[in-house]
Amino acid sequence: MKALLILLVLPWSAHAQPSTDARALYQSGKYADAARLFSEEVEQRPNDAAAQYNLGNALYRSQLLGPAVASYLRAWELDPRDEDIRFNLDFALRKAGEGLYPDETPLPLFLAFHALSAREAEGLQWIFWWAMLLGGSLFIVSERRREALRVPLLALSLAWLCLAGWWGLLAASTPKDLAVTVAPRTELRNGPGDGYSVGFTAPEGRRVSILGEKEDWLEIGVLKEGVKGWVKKGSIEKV
Amino acid sequence: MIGSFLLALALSPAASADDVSVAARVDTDHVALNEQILLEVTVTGDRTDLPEPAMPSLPNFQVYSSGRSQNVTISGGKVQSTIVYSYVLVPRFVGDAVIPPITVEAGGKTYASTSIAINVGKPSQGGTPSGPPPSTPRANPTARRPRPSGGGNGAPDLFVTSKVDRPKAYVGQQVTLSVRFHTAVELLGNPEYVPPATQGFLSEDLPPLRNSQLTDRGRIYYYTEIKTALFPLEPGSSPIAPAVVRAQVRQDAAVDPFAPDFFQKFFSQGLLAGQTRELKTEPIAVQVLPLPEDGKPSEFTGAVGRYRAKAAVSKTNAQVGDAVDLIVTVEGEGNLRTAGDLKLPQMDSFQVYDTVTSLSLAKKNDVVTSVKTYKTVLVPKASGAVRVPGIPFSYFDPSAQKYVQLETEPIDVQVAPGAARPSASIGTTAPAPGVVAVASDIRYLKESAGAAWVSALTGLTTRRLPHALPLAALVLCVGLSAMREQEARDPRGQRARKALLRAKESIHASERARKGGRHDQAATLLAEAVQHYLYDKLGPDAAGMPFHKALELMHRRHPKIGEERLSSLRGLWDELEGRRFAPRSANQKTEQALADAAMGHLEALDRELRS
Repeated sequence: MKALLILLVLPWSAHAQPSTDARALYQSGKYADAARLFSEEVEQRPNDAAAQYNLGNALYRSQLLGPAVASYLRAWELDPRDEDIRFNLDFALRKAGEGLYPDETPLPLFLAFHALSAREAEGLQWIFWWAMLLGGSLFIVSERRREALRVPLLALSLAWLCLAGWWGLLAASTPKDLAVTVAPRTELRNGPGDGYSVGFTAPEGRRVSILGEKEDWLEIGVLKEGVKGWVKKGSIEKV
Repeated sequence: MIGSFLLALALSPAASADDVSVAARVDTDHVALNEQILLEVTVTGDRTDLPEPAMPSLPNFQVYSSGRSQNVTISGGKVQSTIVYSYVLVPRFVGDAVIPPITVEAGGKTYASTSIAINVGKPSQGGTPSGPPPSTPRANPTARRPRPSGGGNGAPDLFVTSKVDRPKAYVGQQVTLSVRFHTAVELLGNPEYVPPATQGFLSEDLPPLRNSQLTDRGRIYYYTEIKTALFPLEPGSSPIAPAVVRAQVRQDAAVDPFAPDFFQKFFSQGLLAGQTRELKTEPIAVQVLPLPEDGKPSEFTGAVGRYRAKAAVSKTNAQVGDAVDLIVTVEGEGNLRTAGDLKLPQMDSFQVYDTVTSLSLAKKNDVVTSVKTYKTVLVPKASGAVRVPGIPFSYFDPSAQKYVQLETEPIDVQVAPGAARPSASIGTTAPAPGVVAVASDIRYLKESAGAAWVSALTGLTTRRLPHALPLAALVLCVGLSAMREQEARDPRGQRARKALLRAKESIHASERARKGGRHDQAATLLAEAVQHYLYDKLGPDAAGMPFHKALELMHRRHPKIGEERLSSLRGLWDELEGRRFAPRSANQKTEQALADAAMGHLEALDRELRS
């Protein structure tokens, strides 16, 4: 229980307001310097969606589309309900030739499914997990409270089941090793080496999943087109 | 003289119809044989891709291109382009000559200038500073008529040479071809120069011609040097075909004054009879290197040389909807004729229209320099301070063998709101104006940190091991519950299992009573501890049974209990009975010993029962 309390309290205590210096630099058009300061904020508060979003903005203005998309993706993963984050992520992804919203899925359904991020769904299901199991323990040991606990316990169990299922679906729909191309023209080779021919090229800012690794080379799959190939490690950034 | 150009041609009649015109003018219509004429051909039209004029056959002149300049204006959405082509004409013969109409093909129509009459006189004494390649070199006006000088060493009367300034060059790098025509004899007129075929090169003449003299193998030669700038288009080995020079020299046939046909020959050949000599240069191969792929910037469009770039706008204060010209000028050494369009960065604050380009070429000190101007009309979409970002431009510097990336300075434009359009009439129910999409861009920074509960919730996912705690609690509770149920189902067995525990509690209670001075109660509790132990173990069958009987029943049920243990218990019981009913005979010490003995016997008996 103490560990749980620490986990709950720590993020609150570490919460701070964004740097005014970084904002001033951004305002004056010094986007690279602003990105450096926003990056420091992200290091201090890695679970702050706003910090990731602001970093993405500064990177985008610095003409670094790939790193900007990576930052927006991190922000979206932290807070998928934020409309600004969704807008900028979709905007940046469209610059890279894809979009956030899949064509085949109705938008309301997509938004409903992504009302929670995988991590939020996991966090919530853990809360319900604790409540359900502690309530169940009380239900077992206390005969006189059993009647009063029966309905709430049932509701808790159903809620936990839904959240756990939601978390599982979100985790399954997100590539395990998500990354973004950060080179202007990433060449996907047919093997892990310069000697292999280039099979495809991908523009900067494309979402890819890491499929394998061999020395300085990574096997990646481009999510939109479904093609795969080998790239040098520096040409993608993990999300 | 240059300033007082003589307008030789007005617009052609057909030109005005289609907004295309061609005009030609010369700087003078009287020229000496050792002078030159500057011809300018101006093509004007409402398009930027105006074709080059087709030069007619000019047998009386040697023609050299000396450059071009272009000016493009955009006004009211219309483009007006003017290209001026400059040529140097070197007369070849004395007498009257005509420059025929110069034509331009545009839109399926032919536009032509009118002809220009030129009078070529005998060579002047002084010549012009930029005189053509005459038979009388400017460097030595007194030697207008070179005479044969020696020639006994096998030195030819005429010869030509050619060379390039570099045998290897990158694609787009200037290679200067020099062709020299040497003569040691008098020429009948200026020679005709046929440039070499330079397939695979972009060719630009490099006037003026150079005239000088040198001594070779004992003969004095007067030479004329013609230079041409060549720009390779493809990598590989590109050949430069031979150049041809045709010169008319005095016929060297001897006439015998004593021959019978002397007068016939004298008058048929004449003293000035000449013959044409054709001379060719050797072909030259130039190795053309490809531009390196490593480090090639994404905005590189083929510019090779050394350039600088600058950007300007036609106005820095504008209204929404105004046209603002963005003018990017790239200039420097090299030929920008083959360079592609600029890659303009994203400018979401503006409506960006097509870019029109103009190119001017100049040739100074045998180096081709270019000025390329890119004009783009920008229309601000919304009011406020908007910025035209730096425009990137890249070129390959062959001397440094690397790509150079330039970017112009950003330009700020202050845009005021556009004039509101008045409604058609007051009182009408015109539809309310809707939201108009102006520009698409990312949204602004977030002023405050993200929701704290999101961070807290996310923090729950970092360590998963603590989440096993409630499961452990539940398992514990399930165990406890199972034990309770077990007790409920088997009270006799439960009583037997807890017999020793209950006996110990009674013994401890007895000790507390004894320490409290309640000796009778202590003795009773001690006796009950032993007796109840037996009853708990034996169950309801022993209810109301005297201690000794109960002990016998215990022995029958558990024969492995030793006789010694039984007798000890009997003795203990007797002593306890005695203590209960004669308490005054006891003292503190013996009560303690009895309690210890009871505890020891019961624990030993319990071990024997469980073994």
